[in-house]
Amino acid sequence: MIRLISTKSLLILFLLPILHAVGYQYAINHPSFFRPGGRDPEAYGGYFDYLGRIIFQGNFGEVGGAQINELVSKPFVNSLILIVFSMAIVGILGILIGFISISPNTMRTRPTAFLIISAGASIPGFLLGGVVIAIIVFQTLYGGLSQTWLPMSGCGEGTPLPFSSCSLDRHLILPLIVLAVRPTLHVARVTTSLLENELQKNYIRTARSKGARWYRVFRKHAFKNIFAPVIVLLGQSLRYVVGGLLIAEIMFFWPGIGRFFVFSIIANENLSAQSRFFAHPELIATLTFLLGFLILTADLIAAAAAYAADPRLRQQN
Amino acid sequence: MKRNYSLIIGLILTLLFLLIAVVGSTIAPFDPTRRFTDVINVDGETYIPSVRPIAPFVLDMFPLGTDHVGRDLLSRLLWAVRPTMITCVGVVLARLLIGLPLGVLSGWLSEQFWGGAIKTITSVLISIPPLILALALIALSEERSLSIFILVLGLIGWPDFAIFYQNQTATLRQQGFVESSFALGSSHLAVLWRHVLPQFWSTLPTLLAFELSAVLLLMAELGFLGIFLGNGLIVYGADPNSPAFVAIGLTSDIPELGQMLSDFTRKMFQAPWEMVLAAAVIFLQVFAFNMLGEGLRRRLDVTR
Repeated sequence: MIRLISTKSLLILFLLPILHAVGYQYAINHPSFFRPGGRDPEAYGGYFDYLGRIIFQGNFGEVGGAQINELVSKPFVNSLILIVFSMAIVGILGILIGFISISPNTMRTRPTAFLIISAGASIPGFLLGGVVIAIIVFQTLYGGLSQTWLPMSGCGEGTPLPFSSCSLDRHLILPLIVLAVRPTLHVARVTTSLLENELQKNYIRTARSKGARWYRVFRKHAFKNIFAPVIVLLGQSLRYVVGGLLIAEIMFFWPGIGRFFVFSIIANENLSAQSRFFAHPELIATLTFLLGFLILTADLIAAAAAYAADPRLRQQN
Repeated sequence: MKRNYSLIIGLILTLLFLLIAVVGSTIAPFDPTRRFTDVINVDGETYIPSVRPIAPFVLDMFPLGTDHVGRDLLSRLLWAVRPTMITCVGVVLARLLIGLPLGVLSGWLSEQFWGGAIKTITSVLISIPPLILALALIALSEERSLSIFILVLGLIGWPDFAIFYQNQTATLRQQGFVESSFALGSSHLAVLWRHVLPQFWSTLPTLLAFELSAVLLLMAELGFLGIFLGNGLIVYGADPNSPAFVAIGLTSDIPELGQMLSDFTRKMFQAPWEMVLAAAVIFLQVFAFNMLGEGLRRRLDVTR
């Protein structure tokens, strides 16, 4: 266990500076620098100049008059709120749906549940979000309501959580729909097929023929055997949640780092207020570093949890 | 034997989309790039159908209405399936061509240095969100051509294939028949070619179908964020609410499914049906690939 964690941590410590450098170099080589009237690469210097400024002066650079570390710290926690909540939904609901869709009588997937899961996993979350927005907009326009029945932009206005600028309220609902629906059903689908394979094995038949209840067979025998792959799967589905973060934050104006990311990578002629973020080397380097930290840490946690959950993994090392 | 409904549904839908991809351009009623700016006349002023202040579906000319810059939506949908399908198939083949050899190699040599190195690299690459990487790489080029999409999306998705084949190969390497084959004097390449690779063909169709649906979803997400096939095109026109000439839409010169989801904030008010219809087509196509994959998995599953 200690060996696994230390190897993975060393890998993270090795990868994060590389990501930081890659982000910086990416922005320096971005085509916007070579356009007439674009940014001046000389103003930023090489990557090691920037690294020196961080280490010796504690200066992360600035965008539009604001220090990057101050600009990014609160949005990072705001994004973290979305990620934590959607991962909780994905983990709990995904496994639960996967369990429900197995029929105790046949030990196979229920056909209807299978159809629903397949159809649901085919809907991209942002299309669902778009349809919900369309419904809300048209209901407000033509239904004669004075306000929408779900807030469509921004995040909670109450007393903010520590280190963030958002509070938890109904603003969370729509972004979470966009983020969580497809990963949840993906986890459900894989859980179901893993369970189905596991339930065909002989030890399950033995337990059933000895008269053990269905729930007991599931909890005591089958679930323990599929737990480790499911944890690894949850760790992998985090990358879809982080990718969806870009879309959900753009769609619902959630003040997180995903929006910064999109503004800094895609040129949009219409968002002139955000154009100062576009291809900003120091900002992109910071964002890559933060996203990489998030993903690699989650990967470490998932690997450690799977290792702790399944004794068979310990045999191999 | 029980009937395999998912395979039937998946096959029918996939064949339907293949048919549209082949003949769609010939049965389309209009040119998909022609903008109809003069068919609506309200109080002496002409409007693009979608920006006029009345309901969209009343014109007999356009069964599905027009998109937000005034092009016939049915023709665009019929044309759009082909480039999207070609991109998806190209991307999946590219991923397979990179992922399969690397996976087999690292699984076969997992005890040696190179196998371990490839394994570590894949396990790091697989945790990168594909959407973010695709966004960053495609944004590096000003050109949005088919080849760039296939190149970038093919380069970023192969770790899934590689990890799958890594595990399969590592398991097969322990089997008795491999050992016996070595004992009979076969070389490594001969064992791989004759005994290991044929074991993969039965799972390959399933994997390809699921990968097709994943690539299509990725393209839809990229399109939503404003990265789609074809050069960007800003269309100016008269808005009924304001007399000045304003930008009424950012679109592409080739019809493509991802592009139909872009420019979300404007479309929500000007042509929400375009979003809904393009979304329905993408949903059906992804559903078709998913059902095909699941059906093939059940069909080829030997435990049933």
